[in-house]
Amino acid sequence: MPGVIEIDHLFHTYAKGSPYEVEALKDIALSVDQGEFLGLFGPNGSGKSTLIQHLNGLIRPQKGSVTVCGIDASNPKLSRDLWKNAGLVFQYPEHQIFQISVYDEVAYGPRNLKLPEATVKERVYEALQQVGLIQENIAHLPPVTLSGGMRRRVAIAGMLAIQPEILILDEPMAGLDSAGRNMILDIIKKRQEKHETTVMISHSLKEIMTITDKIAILDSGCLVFNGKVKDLLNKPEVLAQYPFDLPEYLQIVYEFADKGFDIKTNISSIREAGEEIIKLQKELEQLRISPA
Amino acid sequence: MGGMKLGQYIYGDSMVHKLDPRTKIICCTLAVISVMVSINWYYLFFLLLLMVAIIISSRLNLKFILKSMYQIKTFLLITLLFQAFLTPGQAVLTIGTISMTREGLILGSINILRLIILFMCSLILLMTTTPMKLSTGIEYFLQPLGKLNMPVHNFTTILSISFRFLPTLFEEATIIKNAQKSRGSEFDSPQLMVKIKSYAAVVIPLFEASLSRAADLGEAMDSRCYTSHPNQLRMNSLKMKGQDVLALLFVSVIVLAGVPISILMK
Repeated sequence: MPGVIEIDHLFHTYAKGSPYEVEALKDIALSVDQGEFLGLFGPNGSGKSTLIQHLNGLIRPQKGSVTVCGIDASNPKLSRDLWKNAGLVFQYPEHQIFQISVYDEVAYGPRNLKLPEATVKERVYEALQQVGLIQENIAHLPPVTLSGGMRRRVAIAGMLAIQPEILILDEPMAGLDSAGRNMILDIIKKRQEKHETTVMISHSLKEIMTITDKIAILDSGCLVFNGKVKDLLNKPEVLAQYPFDLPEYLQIVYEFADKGFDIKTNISSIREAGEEIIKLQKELEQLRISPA
Repeated sequence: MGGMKLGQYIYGDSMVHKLDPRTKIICCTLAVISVMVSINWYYLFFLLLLMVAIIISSRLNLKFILKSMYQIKTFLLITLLFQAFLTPGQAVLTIGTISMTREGLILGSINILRLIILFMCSLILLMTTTPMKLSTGIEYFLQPLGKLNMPVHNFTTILSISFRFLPTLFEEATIIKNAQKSRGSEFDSPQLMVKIKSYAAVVIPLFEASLSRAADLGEAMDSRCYTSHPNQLRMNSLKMKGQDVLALLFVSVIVLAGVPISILMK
């Protein structure tokens, strides 16, 4: 079965034929299945943002093919409406807020979908609830009066209200406090439960590793790695290029293994790590009860 | 990241790039005057060819410039239509009570040619001069106003800051436009009202961002004790060389000889 996102041999060059020519994407092949969560990692200028703008029709493929929800993104007539299927939340989305009230801001997308006002209202309140804003207090305030973190929530709610099949987040955590981070993790978790597809860009491998088990790494326009976290951990030559701290749960498991305990290191989630540690604890207790 | 912006400085080491900014400003001013004064077809065509020659010799992308000229086609067309219908003369085409005249069409075409030359001329100046050099050049010409107690240095500081932030502003506008497109704004809608509303969704956040950036920058300058005084180092870096004299002579001859001749020929 084809995935909900299919990218094949995609190339993209900015400012072709000028002194500022930059090859942003080189031969990218990537596929994401329905309900999957893909973490996209890469240093600055590696082409992450260019890649995701192909997914909602902002950039049409110059060479290669992009299919999103069965829609061919190279067809200008079809890709115009791709924003309804693939919702892209830009970096610092709070900078795009322009309406007079929070309600109108969140309702902007649904209204562009030409939905009846009653449905729009329903969606707005649902979206505001999802980002943890209590509707009665906030819906009619002007966005200017809110703090940066709150405005980020409003902007994300604006995209959630469109209810896209695929949600694409470009560095949603940048500059957020821990409450804001938890809110985003919450949204992602809910989408995973509902078997909805999500793509997230991040500068931090650690951050991606704690959320998802599917990672794609871009570097200077090339896809360096695409696969499971487990496989990535077995590739020290790739990891060595990106200095980062392992997530705490992996640090603990590795520490145990280093000290000579019999623990499985091939794990990819906090839950798995927890189970392994409890198993180890039980084994040790049994040893203590029957030392002979 | 993004594409090339119109009028953005393009790095190069051609003769035009190396000219003193003051030379280029004077040459441009002379070209503007001659284009405005002359209505001789041959002379205007000669100037057009000269502009193309300069663009090619300074290794700017002629195709890109021509393509961007195509974007102001509506403006040029409106100019032509207004001239054609509002100039009295021999009627060619009559619609209702107004008529298109032969004289009007000729005048309109000449005006389009003038606009194209001015467009190219200003692009050459902008694309071959760094914003810093350009504002230093302007500061030099504004110096006499300082004697009248005008705050020239403040003015040029404002100018160089705005030159500096133009690309940033463009970049930001593109990002916001893309973000609003992702929420369904129709920038290419055939309905004018929808189009205007879509652009409001770009202009409002853009204004907000610029205002807050201006406030931040002002505070940052204050906290580093900015006071308005002439930048001697920058001013003294301007040097007229042999090629500048040559360029000035060449353009002066073209303007001072060309304009009277083209008027006399009529």
